[in-house]
Amino acid sequence: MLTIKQLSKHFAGVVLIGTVVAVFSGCAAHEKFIPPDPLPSDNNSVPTPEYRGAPLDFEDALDKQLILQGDQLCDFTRAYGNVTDRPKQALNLTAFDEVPNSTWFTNRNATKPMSLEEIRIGPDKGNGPDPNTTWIIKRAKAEGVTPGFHIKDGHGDRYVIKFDPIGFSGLNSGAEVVGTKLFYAAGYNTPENYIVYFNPDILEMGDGVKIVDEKGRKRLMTEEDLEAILARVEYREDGTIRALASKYIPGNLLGPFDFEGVRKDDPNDFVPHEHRRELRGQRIFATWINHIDAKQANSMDTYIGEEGEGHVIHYMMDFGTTLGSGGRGPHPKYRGHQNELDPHGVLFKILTLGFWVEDWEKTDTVAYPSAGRFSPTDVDPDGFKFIFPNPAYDNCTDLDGYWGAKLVMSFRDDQLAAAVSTGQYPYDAAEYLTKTLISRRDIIGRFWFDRVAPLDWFKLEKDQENNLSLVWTDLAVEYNLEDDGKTLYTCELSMDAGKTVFYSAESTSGQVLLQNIPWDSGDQLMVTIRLQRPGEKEQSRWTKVYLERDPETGAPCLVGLQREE
Amino acid sequence: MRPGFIVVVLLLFFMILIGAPVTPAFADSDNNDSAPSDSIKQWKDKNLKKSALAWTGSAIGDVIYFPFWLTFSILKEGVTIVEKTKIVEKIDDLLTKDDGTRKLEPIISPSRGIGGRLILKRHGDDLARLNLAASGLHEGRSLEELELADVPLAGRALMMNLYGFYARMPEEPFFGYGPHSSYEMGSEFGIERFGGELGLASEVLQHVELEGFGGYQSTRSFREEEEDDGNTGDDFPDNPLWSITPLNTYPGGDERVELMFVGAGFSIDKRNHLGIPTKGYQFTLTSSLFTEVEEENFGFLKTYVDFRKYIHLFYGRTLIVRMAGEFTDPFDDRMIPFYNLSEIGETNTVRGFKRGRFRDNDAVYGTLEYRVPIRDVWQESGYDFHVFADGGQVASDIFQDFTWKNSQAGFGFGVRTWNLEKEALRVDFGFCRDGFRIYLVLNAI
Repeated sequence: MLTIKQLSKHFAGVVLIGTVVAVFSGCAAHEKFIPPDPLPSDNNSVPTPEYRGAPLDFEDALDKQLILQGDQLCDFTRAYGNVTDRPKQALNLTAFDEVPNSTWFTNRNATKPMSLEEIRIGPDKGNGPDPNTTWIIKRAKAEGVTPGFHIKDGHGDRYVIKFDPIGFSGLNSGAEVVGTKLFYAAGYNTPENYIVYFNPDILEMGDGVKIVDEKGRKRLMTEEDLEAILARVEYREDGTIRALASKYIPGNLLGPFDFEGVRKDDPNDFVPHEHRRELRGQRIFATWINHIDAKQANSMDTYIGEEGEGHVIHYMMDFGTTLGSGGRGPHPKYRGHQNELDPHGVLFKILTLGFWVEDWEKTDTVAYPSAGRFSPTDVDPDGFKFIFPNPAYDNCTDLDGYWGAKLVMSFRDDQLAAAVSTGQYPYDAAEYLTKTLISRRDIIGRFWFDRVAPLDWFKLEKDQENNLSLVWTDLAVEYNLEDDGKTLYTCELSMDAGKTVFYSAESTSGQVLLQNIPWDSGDQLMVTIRLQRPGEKEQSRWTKVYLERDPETGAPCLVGLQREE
Repeated sequence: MRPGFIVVVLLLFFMILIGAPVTPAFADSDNNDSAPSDSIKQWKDKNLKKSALAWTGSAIGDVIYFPFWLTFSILKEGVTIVEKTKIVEKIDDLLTKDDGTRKLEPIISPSRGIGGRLILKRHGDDLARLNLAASGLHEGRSLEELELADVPLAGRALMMNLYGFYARMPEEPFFGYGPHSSYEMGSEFGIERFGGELGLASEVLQHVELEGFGGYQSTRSFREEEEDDGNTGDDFPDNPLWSITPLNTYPGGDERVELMFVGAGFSIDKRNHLGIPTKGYQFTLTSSLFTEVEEENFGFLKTYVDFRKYIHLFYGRTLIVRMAGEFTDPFDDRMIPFYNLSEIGETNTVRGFKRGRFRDNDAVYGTLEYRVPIRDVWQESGYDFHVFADGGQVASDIFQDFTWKNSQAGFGFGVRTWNLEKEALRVDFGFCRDGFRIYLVLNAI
C-alpha cells in the first residue's frame, strides 16, 4: 500500500511535470493574433567589421558533420520543439509570414514577376571583361583540378576567371551563370558572373603575381605556370577559350558569413542566421538547382560605403557546382543523396552489405556533357543532402519550406528558358536543362504545397453590390499543379480567437463573403480556411487570416495570417 | 552540498568560461562593442531572450554533450592545424620532386612491418626507376631492399629488373608441419636472409607478360634466445615445439643454407581498373628451381599459381573469386628448408590465421570477396567495404592428400581505399578458429 507521503510525492511529481509541459507547450492557445514587431532596419551606419576568412574544407566538414549534429541532438529544447511539432520558427517575418527586404534579401520574382529581360540581366551591370583589351593577371590558382586566375581588364575592372573541365565545355561556367540568375531573381545578392570567350594572347603577367601551386606553395608566377594552366583548359576551334568571369563583389570584402549565429562586430546583424527565413528556406531553392555546395565558404559579406557610414551586404556566390556540374565533371551519383562524410549512409550500406541498392545508384542521367548529371525526377524535396550539413537548412521548418517552394514555383517556364539561355549551352543541353528545372520545380512545388496549404496573396474585395469578400490565391492552382474549380475550401469565420463562431462556408472559388458579422472596432475577425483536393479524404492544415477595422476609418483591413505547421 | 552538484556547477562555469555551447546561442550578439540602435536592442530583448526553462533544456543537453564536444573540437583543431600549416604537403614537398624524379611513400604490411619506399627516376625517363625500401618496427624485423626496375633493353622489347635485399626477422612463428599443426605448439625462430635476383621481362601481347629470372639467396635460421638481444618473443615465449623437436632437427634449421635459383613466369592482367576493378581477371604463374650452392642437401622446384576473377554483380558491387596454390617439390632426394615450405596464414592466403600457421610442401587456397563501393569520386579515388571468406589447406602432396576436412577457413570484413594506380590502404578484420587478427596494408606491392 502506498502511504500518504508517497502519494503526495507522486502527485507533486505529476504537477511538476505537468507544469513543465504546460510552460513548454504554451498555454495560450486562444490568444488574439498580435502581429510581430516590424524588423528593425539592418542598413544603419556601422563601423567596418573585421575581415574573417573562410574555414578550411576539412574544418568545416568536421564542424558541420560532427560538432553541429551532436549539438543539435543534445539541444533538448530544440528536440522537444521538433518532437511536439512546435519547432522554433524563423524570426525575421512579417505579419503575413513573408520576409521583409533587407541587406540579405530583396523580394523579386515571387512578389512581382520579372520580365524575361530582367531575368537574363540578373545582377549584371555591364558585359563582363572586355576581350578586346589586355587582361593583366593579378593572381593565379594552380591547385585543384580547375585552375583559374584573377585579372584586371582594359577598363580597370577586376574579375576571377574560372575554366570548365576538359571534355565538359560549358559545364561549370554555364551552371555558374544560370545559378547566379536564378538566385538573383529569387531575391539573393549575387556577384556579376559572365561567360567570356577570349584569345589567350590577351593575357599578360602582372608584376609580382603570386601563385599557389598544387602543394599549397605560394611563389611568384612564371610564364611556364601560365602555360601549364592554359594547357589544362579546352580550346575552341577558333583558338579562343570559354571561361567564367566573376566580377569582384563591390565594397570592402569581409569574408564569408556563417549560416549560424551572427557576426559579432556588425551591430546590424542581429537575427541569428540559422533563424533567418531566407536562409532556412534557401534549402528548397538550393535543392531545386542542385546547389550541393551551399556552405559558408561560398558566401561573402561586403562593406558598402565610406568607413563608419556604410553597412554590410550579404552575398551568395560560387554556383559553379549547381545544376549538373560537379566542378571536376558531372556530379558524382551520390551528390544530393549523401553528405561528403555521411556516417548514416556509410553505416547503412555496411549493415545491409550493399544489398539495398538506393535509387540514386541506379540512375545515370548525364544526358549531355555540358549539362552534367542533373536528374529531372530523382530529387527528394525534403531529403536532399548537401556536401556538408548547413545549420540554417537544418532548422528549416515546414513553413520555411513552403516559403522556399514559393520562390521556386514563382519561375515560369519561359523565365527558366531565359535564365538557361544565359548559360550559352548547345541547344539540346539548354532544352534538357530547362525541362529538368521545370520538372524539379513541379516536384518540389507539389511536395511543399501538399504539406502546407498553399493559400496566399490574401486581399479584401468588394463586389458590385458592395459585399465585402476575403479573396485568396491557391498557389497550387495558380501554378497549374491543380485544376481550377475542383478544390473545396471550407472557411470558418469567428471572433475572440475562435470562441465566437459566426458561420462556416464552403466554396470552390478562392473567396468568402464577410457579411452579417457584428464586427466593431477593436474586434479581431479570424477566418480559418482549410482546403480539400479532389480525391483526398482529409482536409489540409488550416490557414488563419486575421482582420480588424481601421481605428480611424473603420474600414476592414488585413492584420496578418498564421499557418498550421 | 553534494559533490556531484559542485562538479556540475564547476563544469558549467568552466564551459561558460571557455565559450562552450552552454553559452546561450544568442548571447554573442549582446557582446558588441558598438551600441546597436534602440530598435534593434528592443527587438533582440523581445525575440532572442530564452526562457529559463528553454535555457535549462539546452544547458542540460550541453552538459551531456560536453565530452563529445570536447573530443570533436580537439579533433577539428588538430585537423585544422594540419591543414593550415600544410604540414603534409610540406613533408611531401620535401620528399617528392615535382618532375617525378623522386618520391617517398610509406609502406605498412604484416610481412614487412612499417617503413618507407624511396623511388628515384631519371628526369624524363618514364620507365627505369630505382626503388629503395626499408621497413621494420614490428616484431624486431628489419628489411632493406634495393631494386633497379623496368630498365629498358633492346629498344624496350625487354625490361630488366635487378633486385637485392637483406632481411632479419627474429620472431617468425612455427607450428610444425601439416594440416593438423596445433596453435598451442607455436614456437618462434629467427631468420636472417640476403640475396639478389636478375630478371628479364617482356610484354609479348597487350596485358600479357613473360619473365625469366635467376638469383641467389642465403638464409640462416636460428633460435631467437641464442641471439644477443635477449628478446624471447612476445607471442610464444615458451616455445613448446623446440623442447620436443629442436630447431636443428628440421631441414635447414639452425644453419645457413645458400641457394641458387632460376625460374620463369607468365602473367596476364585484364582488370578494367587498377584501383577498383569490377571486371576482368588476373593470372600469374611462376616456377623456380632452387638448388644448394656447393652442396647437394637442398633442392626443390617451387611453382606458384594465382588466378583472380572480378565479377560485376550489380551497381558496382563486385565479387572477387580467387584460387591460388603453391607447390614445392624436392628433387633427387634432396630436402626443402622448413622456412621455404608452402604456407597458409596472413593477408594473402587465409586471413584470420597467423603468418606461417600451416606449412607443408603444397598449399592451395581460395577467396570469395564481396566488395561494396562506399564512395567513388569520378573513378579516380574512393573507398569500399568488403566481406570475405578464405579457405585453404596444406598437404605434403595436395593432389593425393587433399580432403575437405583438412581445410582451414577464415572470414571477415574490411575497408580499402584506392586510387587510379592501385589499392592504397587496406584494413582487414579476419576471424578464424585461432581467434581474430587485424591486418593493415599500405602501399604494398
